[in-house]
Amino acid sequence: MNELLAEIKAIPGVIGGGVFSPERGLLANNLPSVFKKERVENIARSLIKLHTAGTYSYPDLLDVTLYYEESVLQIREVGKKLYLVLVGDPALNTSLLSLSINLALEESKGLDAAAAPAAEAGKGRGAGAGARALIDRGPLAEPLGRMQQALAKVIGPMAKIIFGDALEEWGGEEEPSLQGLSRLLTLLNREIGDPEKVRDFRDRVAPILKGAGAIQ
Amino acid sequence: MATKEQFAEQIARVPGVKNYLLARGDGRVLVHNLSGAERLASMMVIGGLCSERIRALSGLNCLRYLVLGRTGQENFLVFPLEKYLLGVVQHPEVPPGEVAQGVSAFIEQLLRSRNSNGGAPGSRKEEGL
Repeated sequence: MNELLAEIKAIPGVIGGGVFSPERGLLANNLPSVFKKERVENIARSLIKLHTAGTYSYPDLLDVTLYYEESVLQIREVGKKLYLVLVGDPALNTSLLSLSINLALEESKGLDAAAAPAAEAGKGRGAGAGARALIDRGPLAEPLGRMQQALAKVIGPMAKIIFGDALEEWGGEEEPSLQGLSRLLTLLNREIGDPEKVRDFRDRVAPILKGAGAIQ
Repeated sequence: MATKEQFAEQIARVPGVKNYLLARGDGRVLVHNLSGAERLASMMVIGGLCSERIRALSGLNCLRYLVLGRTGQENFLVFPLEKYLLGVVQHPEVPPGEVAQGVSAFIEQLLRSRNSNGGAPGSRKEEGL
């Protein structure tokens, strides 16, 4: 998520942004320090309310952009109950911004790959950071790859980012193993949130976990 | 100040405006040429309330307008207009920035005209403007 935000912040006119979950609050942000966390969360909640109201009239709603005299605020749903909130200056090119966000989301594999070397170097990202690389090599690569594909079918383009974050958290909790995949499933279910989608995801990954010996 | 019929006629002539909806701040629809006007008006009111809360939280000045971007390109723009809210559906081939500029200029002209005539909005109460 931090890589995604950094990429977006590089767009001319973008001051910064954050990824927000209504249940878990601000998950990541790179806004200047004058934007206090509590205030950003309150603003994000109002933006989500507005976004949700918009979807009742327009199910194909992509984003909502507010043009104030000094700033531009934009909100976009980038996953199930996961929102990207951006702040820019009035000259912000929103067409360029939309295109850049689409590309960044589609290229999230690249973002994960970019995160892996830093994780391997162990530069202050915790013991779990290296777990992101498990999907690329080793005995866990095959089941993890299939789990990520199943997640993408359930929640869409944010799957790679969410899966990478869950891998990192899993690796921070315990030594990743085939038998421990059920714990990863629990973490992913928490991220999915929606009970119906959780059931769908469980059904999709059950054969993978059985094959790996993680469940009976 | 224009009657709502005059207002409708003028806003429909702004380049890039495909449909329009004028509502009071309480969501009562005054004039429109689109479907689902009541629901859109309610959404506009929520948009107005949320943008005001955000303005208060962030210390920003007034909202110029907001845009609901759609994958179908027919974006919906909402403009605060004193105690009213104006919503417009843009023609997909016209960039939203150009539509916003045109509508903002129209609103400025409307308010200037109102002020130069010395009349307050609502001077013709039955018209709602």
